[in-house]
Amino acid sequence: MDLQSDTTDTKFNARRRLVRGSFSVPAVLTLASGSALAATSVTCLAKATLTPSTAPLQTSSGADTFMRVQLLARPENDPGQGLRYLVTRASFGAIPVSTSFWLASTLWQRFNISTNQLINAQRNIAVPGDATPVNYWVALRLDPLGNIVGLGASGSGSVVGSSCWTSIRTTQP
Amino acid sequence: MTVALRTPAGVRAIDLGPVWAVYSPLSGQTLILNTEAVAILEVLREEPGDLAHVCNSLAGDGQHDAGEIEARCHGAWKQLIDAGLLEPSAAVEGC
Repeated sequence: MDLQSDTTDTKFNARRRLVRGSFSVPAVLTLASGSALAATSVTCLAKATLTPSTAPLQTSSGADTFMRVQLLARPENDPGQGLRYLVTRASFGAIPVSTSFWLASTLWQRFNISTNQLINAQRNIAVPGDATPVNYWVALRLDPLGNIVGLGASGSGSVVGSSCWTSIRTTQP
Repeated sequence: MTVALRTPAGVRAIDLGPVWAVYSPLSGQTLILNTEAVAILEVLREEPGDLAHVCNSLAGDGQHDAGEIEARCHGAWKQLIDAGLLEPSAAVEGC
């Protein structure tokens, strides 16, 4: 109903109702706007990093409450020595990576699945062509601004879980 | 002298049953009002006035006591102004 332009039949509806009952205290309740809720959700990530925590490596992508990325694996250089694991920048998607964690040129780095930590040097060469996705998932650690600053037990920041996922910031592709 | 208030043009109210959703073009907000609060807006849409004017009108509708209504409306009056659901119209002599 537009209070300014509607017909007489509808515009007095509220007053007519009052005639039938007692006069209560008028109430004015403010609805939270979507932008306010979004701003509030950002603080979720800021709060999470006040008490930084890590999350163990996961061997399944299902029903996890933390934001994780999948590892790749390739055979060790010496045949029969098992696999070496690595995490790639491409696996982060559009989530920004802090240069305090990885150089802008870094494309991948080896990962130790026993310690849940990055190992060896950052690599700025192409991801090895024989590396394939495996069923290991490492949790991302982010700073209050939503930048990746760690992985698993490496780096700083905090893992992101539950409602804090809505705080994730992405960059334009 | 008191300032007469009116319900701004473009205020929209939708009856949701026990309450109303009311949009103010001045604040850009949509608020939830009860019927009593919407009744205040209706009075001031028809004729600008102050709180006493509104309460006299509403008291006449339902044979209520105007003073009692006014006592109950003081809090909401400021809220309606802050929410952009009332705006100054013109200066009139106080009641």
